Amino acid sequence: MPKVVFIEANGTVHEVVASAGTSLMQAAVSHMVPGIEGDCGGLCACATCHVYVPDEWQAKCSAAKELEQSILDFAFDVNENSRLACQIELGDDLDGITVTLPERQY
Amino acid sequence: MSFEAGDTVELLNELPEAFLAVTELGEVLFVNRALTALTGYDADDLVGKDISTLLPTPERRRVQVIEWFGRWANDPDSEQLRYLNLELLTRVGDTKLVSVRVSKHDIQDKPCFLVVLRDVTTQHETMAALRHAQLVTNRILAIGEDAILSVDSEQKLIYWNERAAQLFGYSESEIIGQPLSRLLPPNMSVDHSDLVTSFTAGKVASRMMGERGEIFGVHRDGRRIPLEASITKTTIDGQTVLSAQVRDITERKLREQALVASEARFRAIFEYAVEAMVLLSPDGRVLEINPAAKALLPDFEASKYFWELDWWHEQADPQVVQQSREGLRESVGRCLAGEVIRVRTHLGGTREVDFSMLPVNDADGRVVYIIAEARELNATGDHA
Ligand code: FES
Repeated sequence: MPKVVFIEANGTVHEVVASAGTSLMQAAVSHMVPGIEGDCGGLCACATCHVYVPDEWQAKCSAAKELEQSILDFAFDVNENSRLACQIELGDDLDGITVTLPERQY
Repeated sequence: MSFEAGDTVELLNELPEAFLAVTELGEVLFVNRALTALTGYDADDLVGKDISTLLPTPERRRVQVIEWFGRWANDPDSEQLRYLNLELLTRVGDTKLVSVRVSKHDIQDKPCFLVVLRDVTTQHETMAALRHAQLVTNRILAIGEDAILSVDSEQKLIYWNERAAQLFGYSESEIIGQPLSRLLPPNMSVDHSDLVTSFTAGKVASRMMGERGEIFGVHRDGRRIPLEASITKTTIDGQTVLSAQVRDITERKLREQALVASEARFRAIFEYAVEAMVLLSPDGRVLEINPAAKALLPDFEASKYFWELDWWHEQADPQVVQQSREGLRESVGRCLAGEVIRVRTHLGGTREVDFSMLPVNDADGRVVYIIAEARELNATGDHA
């Protein structure tokens, strides 16, 4: 059961415990973390689950596929730490991962 | 009747959806009337211009419109088309959100995109407001003191908040989709299922459960939990959802039991005391007297004032009686002010009684009862 910390753009911290095998997006949505929408339910088709994954965790996440890279075009304020949370599967190796959320998803 | 090539432009102009044709390099070739209506531009303002006049790269995003037209033209069934919108800039500088459909077609041997745009600004805003409201509501439900759960028309669980998880010991993911009977004692679940069915069919929208007796839930570990619950139904499109707000009343039951036990203890002391005891209201009326007091007051009548009780020997001097009644009355007044009282009163003849009065305060320090005790001195050989 990996622990995940979401930090909203305004600094509010949400610490949740997710079940392994679910995505970072699902963890946020099922714990009602504001600032992650997940409109498409994880199909990598809406870009409303944008998060910033800090460098130290980037390496532990599977690399972003091409589709994810391109869909990120539709996310706001994208930078090199940007990922789509629905494309990151939570496993025990990501226990403790901390991600920050952008100011807006749409 | 047959379709003439010359009708094409007219037809495109009459299309109810906004339509435009643009080259692969982004040069606008054609816009129809619905598009000019949507954007406020005349056709002449746009034809020959770059598509970015109409669909600029949105602020704070990287969307290159022509590139995306290319992707979507190659995959017209893409899921993305359902979710991704573009920002359209009208002539007066307003931004509208548009959903798009794109196909590819060669016009005069040049590859072009044929694009239909639909204004989804209002839908989008409504959806965003709804989502926001839902998030707020969900967060309120989630932190609620009470367990909240919902079942569908097949009595399968479809909603489960954090308190429900704590109360019954199942996480949301374990219980969603499971039958409600999982949470009920086996002997109750059949009856309960009938009750749910009749409530679903009935005209009442909400009610307290357990009007016909106590209700219990069953924890994952098999423990029975006494519950209090209210239920409400919502029928949308013929589908009924029942939601219950459930409270664990174990604590309350324990408190009730403790109260009953303390009442029993009090009774034991009161009923079997050797001393005559009288319980008074703050204004001095008799609420209860114990058997020992009844022995002193054979003609006892309830709800009299304490000083009006017939304590005195029938041959006692009326003036003395009157004086001692006054004395008792005054003592009750002082006791109400918080004083512990001891008075000795002659009952006539050789009888003499020691009265003590003790104020009983509530948590706020107000006197709620007065306990009066009477001890007949010469009867116990305790004559002063
Ligand atoms: S949930 Fe839609 S892209 Fe991640």
